[in-house]
Amino acid sequence: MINYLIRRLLHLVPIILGVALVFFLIFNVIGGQEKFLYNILPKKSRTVEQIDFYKHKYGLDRPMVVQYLDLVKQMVTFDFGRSEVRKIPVKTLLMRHVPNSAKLTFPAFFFEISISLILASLCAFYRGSKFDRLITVLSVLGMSISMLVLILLGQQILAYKWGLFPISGWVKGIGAIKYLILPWILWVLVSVGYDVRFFRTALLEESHKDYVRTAKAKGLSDKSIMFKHILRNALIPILTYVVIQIPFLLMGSILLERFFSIPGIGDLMVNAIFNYDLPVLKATIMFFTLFFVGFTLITDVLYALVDPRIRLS
Amino acid sequence: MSNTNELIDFKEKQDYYEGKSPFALSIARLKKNKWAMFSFWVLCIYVLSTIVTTYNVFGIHEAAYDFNIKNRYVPMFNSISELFGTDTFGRNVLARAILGARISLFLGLFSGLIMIPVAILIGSIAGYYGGVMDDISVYIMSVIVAIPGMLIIMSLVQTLGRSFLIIAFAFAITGWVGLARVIRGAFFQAREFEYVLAARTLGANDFRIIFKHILPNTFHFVILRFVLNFVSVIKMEVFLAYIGLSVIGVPTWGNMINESKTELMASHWQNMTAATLFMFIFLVCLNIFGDAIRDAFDPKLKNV
Repeated sequence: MINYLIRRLLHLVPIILGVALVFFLIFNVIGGQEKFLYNILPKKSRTVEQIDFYKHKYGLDRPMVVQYLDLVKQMVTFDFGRSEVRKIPVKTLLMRHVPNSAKLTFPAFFFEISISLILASLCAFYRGSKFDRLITVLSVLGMSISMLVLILLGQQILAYKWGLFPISGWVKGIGAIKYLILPWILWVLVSVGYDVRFFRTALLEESHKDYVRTAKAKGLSDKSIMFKHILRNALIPILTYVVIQIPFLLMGSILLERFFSIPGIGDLMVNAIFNYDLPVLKATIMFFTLFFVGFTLITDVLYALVDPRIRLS
Repeated sequence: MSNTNELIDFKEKQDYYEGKSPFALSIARLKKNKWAMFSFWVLCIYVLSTIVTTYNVFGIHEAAYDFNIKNRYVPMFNSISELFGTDTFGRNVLARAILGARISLFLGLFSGLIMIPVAILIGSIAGYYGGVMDDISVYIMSVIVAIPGMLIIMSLVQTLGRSFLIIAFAFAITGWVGLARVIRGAFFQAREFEYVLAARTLGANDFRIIFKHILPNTFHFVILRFVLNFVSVIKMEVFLAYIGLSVIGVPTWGNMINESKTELMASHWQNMTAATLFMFIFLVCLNIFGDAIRDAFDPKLKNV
């Protein structure tokens, strides 16, 4: 177990190097430095000499290899300096924005997973019935609608016309909930279709297996087969699917964050891309990568814990 | 009683299956699915309209591009030619929505055409040879997966410019990983099968085994990915339009929905309704058709 963990943590190193390389290719080789420098200079001093001066100051005139190694060093030590636009240390900025994103996405994700799990098991239990067909049709329709449309409609009709929710805004602390309800609802609406379908398929695939037939032959009721046998076994693919989505949650809410002016990490990232705020971008990418690799590791370990047939080797 | 029934069933099945390749059987299964065929024809109408509107039929280009300030915000359902009214510059929204299909289709097509050969090549080589090749490919894939796709797309479009080809290219870069993984898995399994062994014993070289023997068996993944690629590209295009990174100067669904953001406050629903309607029908049909392809080609899921 510990050997496995150590080996997996060592796998992190080449992945971080690769991520740094992709980032380096996009922002240092393809372009962006000039725009980046141009952006941080005040309007009056945007001259070639100034840009060259700053290029030297930020080390952008050094050889590519040195620049790359520097990037790697920054990523490993997690020291990205200050945001060029906001003039705040990147670490503080991240610490401030990540909890807000978490507040938006984790409850929404939790609601959505529970709702879709309930719907999916009902669908699988009453498969072929009108209810099943209705949910299947609705989930295809839900998959086909764009999030932006839903956000616009929700904000326009529910918040603006009917006044059920505040249109947008943010406060610190617990009072933020009233600004979060509408985004939560929209999040659930957008993603519930995909999940219901996935869970339903996972449950139905499980229900064709031999042990289900054995249970039926033993004389167990459909209900106890469904909820005691099938649901438990189907939890393995469902668990993987759920855990693997968690890292994407922090980034998946960019639209919601921008529309409802929630100061989260997606918002931070989009602004950083537009302002060529490279330190912030580096930090967000690094943060995401660590989060992602960490959660894939957790998935693998969980997988082995849930399913004894899988060995960690 | 049940015995005779089973016999009749068996006879019918034998007649049905005899002399047909698995591919032909899958197509037959697909054709039996009424909803799939319906959505297929709807998709064909979209493709056809894209081809037709490349030429300026009924003056559709003038209606979609030319400013006509006197005629702005014509309400919906006023006349047949201006079914969805006009937008803030007096451009015909119906014409713009029809032309919007074009960008979406071409983006999906180009990104698919870039992505699929890459995915097939890397996936098949990794899965077939294993070893070092496999390690390298898996490494590349895990690096690309570890960066959020949205971020790669946005950064590329922002640094390289907002042109059509660059957006398609950016979609392709993030999109090939999923397909390559599936193909790699399929090759991994197929490598051990008897038919591959038989082909090798008969003296077939690797190239022939990969492209002639194994690849056709994974082809439904490719078709499915190609169809579903349109869904993700269209959704992503709307997102890019909102961020302000979509193709400039042409009507796209994303741009229209993005414009409607400000118009809704003044209750001008023209852009919103037209773009959403066109996009929604298109996406529903794509999803239904994609599902039907998966059901028809994947015999394991037939009963689900």
